[in-house]
Amino acid sequence: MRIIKILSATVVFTTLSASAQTTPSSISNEDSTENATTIPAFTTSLDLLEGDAQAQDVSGLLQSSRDVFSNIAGFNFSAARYRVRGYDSENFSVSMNGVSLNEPEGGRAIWAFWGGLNDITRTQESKAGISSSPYSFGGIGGFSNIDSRATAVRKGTRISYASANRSYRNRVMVTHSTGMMENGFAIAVSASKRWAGEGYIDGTFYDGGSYLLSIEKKINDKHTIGLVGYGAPTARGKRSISTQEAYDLTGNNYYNSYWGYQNGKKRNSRIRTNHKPRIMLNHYFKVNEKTNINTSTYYSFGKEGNTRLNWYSAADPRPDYYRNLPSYYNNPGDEFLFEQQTNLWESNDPLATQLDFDQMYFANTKNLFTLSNADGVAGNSVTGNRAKYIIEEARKDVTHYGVNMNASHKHSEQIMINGGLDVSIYKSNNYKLIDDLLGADFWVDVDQFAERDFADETIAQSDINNPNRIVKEGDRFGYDYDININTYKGFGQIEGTSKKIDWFAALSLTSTSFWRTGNYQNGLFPDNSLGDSEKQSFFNYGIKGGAIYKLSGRHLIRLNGAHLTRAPFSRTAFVSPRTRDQVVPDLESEKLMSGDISYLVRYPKLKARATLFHTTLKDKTWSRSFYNDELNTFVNYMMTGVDQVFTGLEFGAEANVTSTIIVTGAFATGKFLYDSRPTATIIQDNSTELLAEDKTVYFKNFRIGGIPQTAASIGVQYRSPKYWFVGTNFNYFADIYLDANPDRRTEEAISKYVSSDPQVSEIVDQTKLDNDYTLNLFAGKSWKLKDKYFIRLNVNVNNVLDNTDFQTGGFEQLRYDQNEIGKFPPMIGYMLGRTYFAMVSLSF
Amino acid sequence: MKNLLKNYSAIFILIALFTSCKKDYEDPTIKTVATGSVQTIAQVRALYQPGKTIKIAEDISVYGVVTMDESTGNLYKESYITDGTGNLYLRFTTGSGLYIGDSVRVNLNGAKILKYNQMLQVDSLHPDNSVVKLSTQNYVTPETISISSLLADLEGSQGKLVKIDGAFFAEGGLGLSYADGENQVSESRYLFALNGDEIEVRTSGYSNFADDTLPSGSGKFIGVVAQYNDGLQLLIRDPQELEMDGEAPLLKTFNDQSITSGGWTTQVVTGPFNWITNDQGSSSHYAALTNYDNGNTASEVWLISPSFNFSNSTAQSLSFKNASNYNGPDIEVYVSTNYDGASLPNTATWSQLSANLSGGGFEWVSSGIINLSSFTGANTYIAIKYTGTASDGKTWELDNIIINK
Repeated sequence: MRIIKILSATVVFTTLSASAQTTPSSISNEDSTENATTIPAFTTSLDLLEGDAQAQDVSGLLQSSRDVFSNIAGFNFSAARYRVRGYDSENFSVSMNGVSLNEPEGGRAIWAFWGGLNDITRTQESKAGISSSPYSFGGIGGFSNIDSRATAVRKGTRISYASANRSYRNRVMVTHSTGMMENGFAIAVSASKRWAGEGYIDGTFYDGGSYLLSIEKKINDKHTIGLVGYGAPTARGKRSISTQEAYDLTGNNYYNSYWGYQNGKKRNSRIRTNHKPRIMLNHYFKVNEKTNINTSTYYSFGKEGNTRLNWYSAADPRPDYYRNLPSYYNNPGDEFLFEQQTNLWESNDPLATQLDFDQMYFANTKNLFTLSNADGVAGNSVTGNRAKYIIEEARKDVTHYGVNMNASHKHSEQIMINGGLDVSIYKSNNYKLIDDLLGADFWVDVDQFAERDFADETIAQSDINNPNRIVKEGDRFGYDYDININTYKGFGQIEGTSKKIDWFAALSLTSTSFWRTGNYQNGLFPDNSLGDSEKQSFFNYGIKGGAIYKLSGRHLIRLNGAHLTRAPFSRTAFVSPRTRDQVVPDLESEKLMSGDISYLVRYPKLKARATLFHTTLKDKTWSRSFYNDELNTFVNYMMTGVDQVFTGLEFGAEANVTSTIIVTGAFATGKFLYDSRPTATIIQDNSTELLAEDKTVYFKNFRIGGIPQTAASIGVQYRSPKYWFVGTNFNYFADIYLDANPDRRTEEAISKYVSSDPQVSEIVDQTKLDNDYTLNLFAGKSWKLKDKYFIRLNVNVNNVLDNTDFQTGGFEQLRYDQNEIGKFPPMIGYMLGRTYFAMVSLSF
Repeated sequence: MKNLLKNYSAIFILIALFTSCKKDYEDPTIKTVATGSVQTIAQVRALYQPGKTIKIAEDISVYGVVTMDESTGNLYKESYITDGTGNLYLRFTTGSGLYIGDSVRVNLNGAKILKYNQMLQVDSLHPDNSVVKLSTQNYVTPETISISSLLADLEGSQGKLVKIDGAFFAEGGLGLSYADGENQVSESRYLFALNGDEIEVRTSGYSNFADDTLPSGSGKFIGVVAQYNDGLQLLIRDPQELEMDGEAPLLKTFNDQSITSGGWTTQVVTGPFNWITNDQGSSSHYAALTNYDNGNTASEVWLISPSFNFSNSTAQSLSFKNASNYNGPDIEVYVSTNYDGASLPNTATWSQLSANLSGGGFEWVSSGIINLSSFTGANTYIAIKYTGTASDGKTWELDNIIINK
């Protein structure tokens, strides 16, 4: 009988039913959903713009929500970069034991920091959209709270192995939980390892571990304390995003320019490593039958590192740099070079299509150079091979600690009151270090752009207090600064329930201050690079409320609304934090207004939800830096007063057609638009020269790019009473737009042309990508052995038809040539072809 | 408890597994640049055949020392080397990565030897595959030379690292910059010697000193010589090498198309003609005078300088360029210490000076440096007198009058 219970839980979970969430003891497709988030599903456009596709695994979706729509969407839409309601990740709150896991610099919850702990993180409470939450005020997108208390982890042992062909190929995971023992202790341990010598994409690799230890001790009936420590050290080779030209030439929509051969072995130049362990001490205080107070203190530390090539006095080695692509030679007179380059690319000759590490070593070991006044010591000459090429690592080392307190009080059978206080003290130390000199003897810590532009050698110094510094592997160089963010939050919530109406209302107050501390005195900005910047302080509030009107127990109408302000994120507030403490002009808080109305149907054999939502976001700050070929320098592009509007419809339904067949359907469509004419400020990075000020960007009604604004899924599942199941989903995606370059939507961009000129629409019009579809399959079976052991097998295949031409997103480059708009074509990303994930687990 | 340990041991094995995150790569074997046959720069230059592009398809090594690099941005993907037998202009497929003073061996295999606008160049060199650096900081002493010597041998001057003393910029006092760095446009400026010799100084708009103001004084100029069609261009390696802080001479170029700007005057003693500016047959303006207009008219016209105070001078001198054609009297050069600056010339005492004059055919010659050191008056004037008769008269042209205090 027990096996049937477990199996039915399994089936229920995999069919994404409404009751699955509360049953953590099951095989789950969440495993593969987690996997899906590590492929490019949740990279945001920001990462793309930085050329770091897949830089971070950002949480944008609620994974194991009890909501029928969210479940279908989370499982089927994520591979197409779908974002719930079009929201950015900072609108979704993720916490563990009540403590926020959204990183303070950009507001995003980055799964990579706890990736691989699926046996733990599946125990979570999630709600989509505006809702009541006992943990925090939360975002307008919804919240998830992971419960990592030792007693929340199912008692027993679970060992699993998974094989896949996505970012990793193998995964092993072991979890053991004692449950509450007689001595008052409960201990849970989990560890995993995920790896791939090479993933789905050429030149990528994966090497990730994770560990968690959770100890709980019940002191008496009132007090329980818990200690949780976890981490997920991960290293992975990244993939690039390229222009269509590179894909066409190589005949490979997964062309990756980041790797090259060294000694005949593939080496990736862009490696992301992260390990940010967290230790948490929890105190669960049951004051009385009605009141609970939970207090958590936490300390988190660790690092994120991203490597990349850098070069000095040498040619750009990147194979897909536009001057290295055949199209650069497509001019009269260059026919020979054009043909030669085209042939090399089309034959996939790695000398043309990939990096050439052997050649970089060669160049580095014969570049004799004498540095005078080395390390700032007059007369100190150092002679050796100066590196032309290096691999550098951009590091972010974080220390983060804080206290979070949540109280709940059951005022009566009808009224529940919650409140919380949260203090968060965050600091990140950002710097570069030399990862690999590639055979050279040293690198000199000067800014080569400034060196070229200014005759005065002081200006080119990264740190004028340590001029002409010789740096070697492991040494810091380039820039070094801290970002400090202190946040103090409080929230209160009241929930009521009655026969006809359930309702809630909540209020939050937040004080945020952030500042930059420069550790180098930059030669270009000697007056505003060293030491503490001015503190940017913001006071914000939020109010929200909602009600459910029960027409009957089966039919409900739900109405929610929220208004909040949010401090700008430090990530976009600084113009160029690597060099100076200048902030974006007229920095102000974002203002959000959101409302939704839903109709819910709950029958044992039919569950459905339909929602209309409307959200406005005002006064967002937007900033990017990019290399401008004309000026031969980096340019900081900032916009303030960026407004966005999100209007749309969500529908999800699940029906048990027979006792063995379930049909599911989900449909979401919206218009996610820019809703203002922001003001742009453009600054030349190496001189602070204002290139433009108060420039109006005609951005109103442009679509937010890089995401499908319409998505639909229909699925059928068969659940056999013989403990196996099989199912399929057909998914359709539409209204995918390229992220628009704001500067192309200015008067200046089209000033050369009369309005009837076709070039005007080439510059101004937004590109819409093709609609496309995928087909997914999943299946599973379980066995019970000796009345004690349970074996479960679970397989799913995404994109069964191996559609490799599905453009899931992309963005226009920020540099452009108004005379020849095709000179810098957009960067395009493709959905992976057919991939699978198969797992077998043993639990006892 | 035993069970617990058993369960945890698997976990600890896993923890041990993920310690090796960083991948290690073996250093590749480094290839070498072949030497092949060694030739001098003179021999390499001799490989050029007029009108042809010579493609080198064998290992030929040439040794040399770098005399100019890209570090100030005045060169781009280029370099100059010298070896005592000659100088060579090298062009690379990308930035050369070479620095002044580098002693290098360059393998010419795969490169091309050709002339572009008369400048001999080795083209299509690869900074890594073609070049081996042997040592650094071998600084070559620039050859001290006059502009006229350079101009006398265009081919031989190509790529030469030179020092020119007593030089000054025609645009020196005008507040002009070396080039237009704002718009990244290259500009030509003109360097003068005291004898009136003139040479173009070409500066890239991408150089990091493009927007620096030209030195207004005179003194030591250092640069590398390039040929551009029938002329030479000097390229500045680094303006910090220039020591042009002496007081610059007065230079009258007539390029402002004014005879009288800068305090110059004319005195028409006889006839209807006066000095005018003209640019016929020349790239720049000059002063010209002829007494011929459907027949000759008797003429005497003076061009008189502003007043100079030579009382503290030691090396005061005069030079100018002149050209003439047709038949008639020559111009005459005078100096006076008691002229009043306004009256007719015959109100003052003038001493005649001897000058080298054009033999005709509109051939430009330099007057030579005319020594004025015996004139130490605080109020000294210099004059050039044109004379024509009713039956004949030459056309005289004057340019680049230089008066050094």
